[in-house]
Amino acid sequence: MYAVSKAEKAYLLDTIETGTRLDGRQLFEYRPISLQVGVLPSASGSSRLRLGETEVLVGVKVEVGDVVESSNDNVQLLFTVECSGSASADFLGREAESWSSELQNALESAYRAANVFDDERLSLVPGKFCWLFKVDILVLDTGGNMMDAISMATRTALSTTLVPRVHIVQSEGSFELEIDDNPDACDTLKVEKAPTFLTFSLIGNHFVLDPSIQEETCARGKLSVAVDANGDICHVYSFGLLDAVELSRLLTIIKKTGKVLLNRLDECVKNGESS
Amino acid sequence: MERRISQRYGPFFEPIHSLEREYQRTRPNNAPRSLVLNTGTVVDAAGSGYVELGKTKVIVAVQGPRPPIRIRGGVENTMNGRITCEVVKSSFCYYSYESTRMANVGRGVSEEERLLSTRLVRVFEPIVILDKYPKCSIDLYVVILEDDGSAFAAMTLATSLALADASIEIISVVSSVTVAISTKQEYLVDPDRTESECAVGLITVSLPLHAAQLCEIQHTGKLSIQVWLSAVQLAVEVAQTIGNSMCQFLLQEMEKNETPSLCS
Repeated sequence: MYAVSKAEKAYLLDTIETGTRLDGRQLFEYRPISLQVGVLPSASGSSRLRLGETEVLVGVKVEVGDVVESSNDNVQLLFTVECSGSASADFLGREAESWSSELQNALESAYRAANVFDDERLSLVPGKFCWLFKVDILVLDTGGNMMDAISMATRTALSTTLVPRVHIVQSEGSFELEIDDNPDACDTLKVEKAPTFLTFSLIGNHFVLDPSIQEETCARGKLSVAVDANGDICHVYSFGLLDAVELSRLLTIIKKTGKVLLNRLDECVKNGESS
Repeated sequence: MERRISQRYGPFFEPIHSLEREYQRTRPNNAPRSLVLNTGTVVDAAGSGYVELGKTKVIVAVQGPRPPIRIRGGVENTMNGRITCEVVKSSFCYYSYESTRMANVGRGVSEEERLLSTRLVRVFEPIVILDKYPKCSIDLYVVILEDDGSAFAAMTLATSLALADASIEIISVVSSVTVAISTKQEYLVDPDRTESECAVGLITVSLPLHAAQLCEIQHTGKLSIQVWLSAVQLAVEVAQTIGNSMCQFLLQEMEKNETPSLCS
């Protein structure tokens, strides 16, 4: 468990009061992000993302699954977050479970709300078969702000995911799926609608974006918002006493920063570089 | 074996679309359901509260402040008290695929219950004056008897009552309300189960009554910033009225229980 001494905490609070942070960032600035895609050859899509000290690895596996509970969705997303015990002492025993279920729940709800894969091409047999995207997220190292790192890595992993072309053969009322013989016949997923999280910590009376682990330990509250490229809100979770007046100011910042961040991510994937 | 939390309560006997068409809200959009409050429901607890929001029924018992039962490494030496929470959903609290399967398997703590308890602890951590209870733990035991929507709001209200009943020092009574945004862009205050399921957005806001601040916001669903802010605004207003009636109730209870002083 990460701990800070009283003196450290006082120093951190004083620094933030002056409008800068311990690592020299502005209050609403991200740490450097580095990104790698296609790191797992056996997965349909994968990415590895480093945000400051936080490091996550995401693998996507594409399968065909049965439709559950009379839903009409073409795609079913299953998120699994695993917090590696080697990353932090917080992740030993039952603590890890509550961390992972919280992160998983937030991601699931944001992606459901954003309705990301509303795509004609992904249609299989409606009401019978659907695509099953299993997104496995592994937190390798924690340096604060896992939520944002996870959401960015998930988005990039999904954007590089290849979905094989499938022909539907109907025989005697039952459907059979045949995968195209050409292994290169794949579609990439459109992820324009996929949201990303932006997390603020409330330290003293100031909100800081992308908190490091020291800042998270000293924080008295958190605000985590999922936005998509249009600036629509897909998920919000906050705790700790915060002023209602602050909210609207923060949301404009969130909208602006979210857009820049998403564009930057898309660019990076397209150009195959890291920033 | 995948672990998933299902937000939907289905399967229903009819598909959701037809439910939505036939469903008619019987009260005004900005009116919460009838509220029933009670304290001292559980005799053995230090304090307890019971809240009914329409058909949603929640009971909360507070134990403590007492020395922590389960000591974790390092925690027992802290100068602040801590709050623990255990949420149990009764197996009959709603009909769902999940709950029927649960009943067959025999149940541990489900993922949903765990999430609810972390949320509840986070709401009350800044509210309870934990400095006053060093090395102690305040344990909250929550039972959701019936869940007809807005269960978390009911949990928060009941916990406020229970903490007040247990005479634990808090900075303010916490009030909470859920607002659903329907597909027709109406704001439905305190939605029931059908309304929550059909909603495009669902916001739960908890706030301390005597401070212009918010304790917790949870929102699911996709909304534009403007709509979201106005929904939060509405939730804050309604939560304040609910909180006021809760305070009145607490004052009444106090007067009732007051023993005449010996001197007069």
